[in-house]
Amino acid sequence: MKDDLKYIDKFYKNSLGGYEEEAETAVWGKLRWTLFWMRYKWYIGLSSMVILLGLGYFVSYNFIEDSPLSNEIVINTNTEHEFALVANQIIEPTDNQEVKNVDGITETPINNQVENEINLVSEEINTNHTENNSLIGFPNTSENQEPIVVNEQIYLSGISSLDFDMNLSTSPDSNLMGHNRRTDILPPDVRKQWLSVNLYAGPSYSESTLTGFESEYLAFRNLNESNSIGWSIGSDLRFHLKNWIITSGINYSVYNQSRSYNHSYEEYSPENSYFEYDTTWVWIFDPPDYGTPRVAEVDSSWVEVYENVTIDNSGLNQLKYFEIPLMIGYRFNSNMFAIELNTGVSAGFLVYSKVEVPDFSNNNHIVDAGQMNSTMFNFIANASIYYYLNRRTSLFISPYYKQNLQSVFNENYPVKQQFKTIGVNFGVNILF
Amino acid sequence: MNITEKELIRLCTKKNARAQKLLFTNYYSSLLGICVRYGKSKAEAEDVLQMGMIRIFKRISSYSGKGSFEGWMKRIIVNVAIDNYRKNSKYYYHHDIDELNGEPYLVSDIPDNLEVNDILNTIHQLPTGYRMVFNLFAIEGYSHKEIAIKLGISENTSKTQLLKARRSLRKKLMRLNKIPQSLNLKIKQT
Repeated sequence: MKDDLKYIDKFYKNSLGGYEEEAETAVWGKLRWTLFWMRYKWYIGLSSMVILLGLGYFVSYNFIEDSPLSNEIVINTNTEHEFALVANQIIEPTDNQEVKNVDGITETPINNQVENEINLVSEEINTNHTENNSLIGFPNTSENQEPIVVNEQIYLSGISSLDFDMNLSTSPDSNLMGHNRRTDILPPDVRKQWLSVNLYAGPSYSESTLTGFESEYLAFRNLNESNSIGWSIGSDLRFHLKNWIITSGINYSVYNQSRSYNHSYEEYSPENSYFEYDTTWVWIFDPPDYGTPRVAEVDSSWVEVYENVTIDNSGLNQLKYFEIPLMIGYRFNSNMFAIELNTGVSAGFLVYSKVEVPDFSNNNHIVDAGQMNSTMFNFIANASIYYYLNRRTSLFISPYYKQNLQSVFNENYPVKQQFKTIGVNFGVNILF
Repeated sequence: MNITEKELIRLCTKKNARAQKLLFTNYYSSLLGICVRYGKSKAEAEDVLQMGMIRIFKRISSYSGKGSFEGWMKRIIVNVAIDNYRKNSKYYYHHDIDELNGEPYLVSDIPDNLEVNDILNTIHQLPTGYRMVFNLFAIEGYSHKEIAIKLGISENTSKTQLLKARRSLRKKLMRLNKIPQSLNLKIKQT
């Protein structure tokens, strides 16, 4: 029974079967970002986590650590203390009866009954503590623990207990240990950290190079465009392999270039145009035997006035990229300072562009260049100086050079434009 | 840019952004043409197109090379449109097919001078369920059994909705016709 309406199906299939519809340009814009996110979501997520962890650690280390609460957490565990002391000590038979901490600063005497001085020297500890601990079977509680080395036999019964903060043993890098720490030089074990985060920002200065089209056009652009200050902000995750460093991360870079295109021309102004009465002509009709002469026509010259009109197309051409660097570097350590040399490449992803340039056919007409390269690869190199504030945190200043390896425009655009950028980043480095 | 379809697919498999854009540029018109038949508006159709393109790019490595690539993409777009419908539709219309018995049927009542947009509008005016069934059956060529499985409805519902869709479309087409219906219609007695 329903077959009678099948012609409806056929009609619609014929009419709409191959139907095509034009999409808004925004569709690709949305899709591009979705694809970008799909492709790099893990990287972006990981970088964000690293940034957040780095910030969290930085904040907690520099602000929360000084809380008086940490000083109140004192656990008196005399028995454990004695055992731990023996397990990690070497007694050196000297005349003095005082305890030196790992950095050689004099501390409270342990006990008068102990006739041997206990010297606690960090270098010896580093070389001996593992062996001693393994013999006694007492595990280290921390990699950075600074055990006491005993060079001579010592009996538990001969040592009286001290008030002891267990956190000194379990967390020697805490604030409780802070008063024993030397701050004038960089502790050697700091250099054994293998992971760090850089957070930085700074200004940059980009110089543009134009090639690939008529020299007159390029000269016109060079004449009317000038270099301008940009900036960047970012975070790097760094792997330390001895003195070698592999760096990656994410940063947001802004390239600016000033343009000053002014087009002046003369435009006819009817309002200001006028009759020049000094040039008035009067035609008089006065034939013979007609009588009184008659004015046949009066005319004056119409003076056209043109006004100067200036169209100001000045402004800022701007490109913004998310950039993911990959660099390798070498680090020279010197007490509280470190110098690093890094070089590598970065992949940039265009997130914003506003590039207005003269039209190829009419240089006075300024148009949006449009055809931008969505990705950009750069060569980068930097030399950084780090200053250690403490064991884990350092400030740095990093002058850098960056050069586009391809044009900011895509291959269909006749003009090639590349930026050479110098800049300086200021930041903080946090070791893990 | 001269690039073969095979090369384009290979580059898209490698998530080459430029190739993805080229693929989108080459096919979006025809794919959006499908989406507008299933959507109620162009905005909805563009959303479906975007979801469909993402699915295409995700699954492009599974394209075996057998059959038309465009056909493969169109099937994905249709499936996305169906998924979108199932996700958004809260109510299905269930009618007894016997209710429709005894209706008069008309033939050759379609005006000759219709624009594509007018035809498309008649489809947009259909209830979503009707539109889905009509598109799948009449234009894509699915059977009622397949439609029932895809939309999660019974075969009878599919048949009912198709019939109602046809009748509704016929009326809408008649309204579009500027020629008096009495001259244009031939009534067939059932």
